Amino acid sequence: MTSKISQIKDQCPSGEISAYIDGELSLADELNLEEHLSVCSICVAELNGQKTFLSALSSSLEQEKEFELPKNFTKTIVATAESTVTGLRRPRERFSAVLICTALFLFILPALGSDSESLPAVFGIALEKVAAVGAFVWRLMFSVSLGAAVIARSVASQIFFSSYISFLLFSGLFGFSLFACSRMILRGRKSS
Amino acid sequence: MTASSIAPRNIRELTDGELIVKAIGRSEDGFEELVRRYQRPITGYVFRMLGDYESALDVTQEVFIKVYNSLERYSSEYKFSTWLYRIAHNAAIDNMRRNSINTQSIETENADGTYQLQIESPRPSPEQDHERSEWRTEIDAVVKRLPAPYRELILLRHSQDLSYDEIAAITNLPLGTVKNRLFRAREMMREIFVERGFSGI
Repeated sequence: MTSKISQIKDQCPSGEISAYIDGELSLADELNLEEHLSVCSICVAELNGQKTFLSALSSSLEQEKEFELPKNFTKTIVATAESTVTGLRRPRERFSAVLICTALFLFILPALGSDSESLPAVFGIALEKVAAVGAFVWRLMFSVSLGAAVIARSVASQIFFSSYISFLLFSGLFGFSLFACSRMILRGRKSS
Repeated sequence: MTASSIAPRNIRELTDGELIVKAIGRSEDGFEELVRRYQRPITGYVFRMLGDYESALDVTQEVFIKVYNSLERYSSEYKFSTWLYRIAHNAAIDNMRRNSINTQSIETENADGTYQLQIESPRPSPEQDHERSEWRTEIDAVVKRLPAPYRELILLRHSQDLSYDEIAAITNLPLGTVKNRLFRAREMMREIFVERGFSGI
């Protein structure tokens, strides 16, 4: 049998026979093969052999449809999939939260560090109002970050209002943090 | 809630596409029905690839979680089942690499693109002969011995009943390679049968 198979391999299109049985040959190839089959008895025998083998193969492998699964397998999958989704979302939200905090912190430190004399007048008034409302909270935080603020004050005030570009940069950062904040709120509402 | 636009037909009658729409609208029963439809064939396929029941269950679960998380990225360029098998194929290969089961046979390709049997199985003893007289057991044993790339094609074709085009999309192989490998895999199986003393094939 083995020798017969290898004997066929050399001269006849036995690879084509395999695809022919599967119905996967193009029309032209199919006609070519049928022409060959009409004159080659070795290939006819090969065709029959492969047919028997392949139908036996399919009929025993198709039993898969009755594959035993544990009880509640479906429910477990669905529940796990759903919990994994919220699990996946959380780190992203945590990231935006950190981003917002950092942006606000970076903005507020140099802004307070630089005295109102160097602030544009309107902007300074608005800032003063905000600062007045949050004075209590801010003072609490400020005492904690005092050390950092002292250093940041002298360095950052120069950077922040030293040029147009740095002013735009920080304003942009602030705008972005507002955008990220609202997106996070929206996403949180959608998921609940 | 957003998926309530679909008429309240029996969920079992909905097409895969309709279920996907439901599932994307975060309707639980849409996704659940998809899982129910495909869990057996997928677990069966993965089980035959890995040869281990527990890992097959884990990988199947992994596959459906991936499906759930990427449903929005599903494009109808492929049939849903093709897409699903593609994910299962990747997950099974990943698992094999991770556990380096038979890694050699996933990766060691001969120069002419063929694979060789890695393990020699002993000839069956007369008692085993009797035990294995059933075709199915015999075929199981032979499928297990095939190199992973061949085993996969045999399973996709004969167990999952997929077309060459679908198999090519799932395995990311050119159509011609699918055709050739499938042929070689079958030849190899027949040779193993002959070697094991089975005649009439």
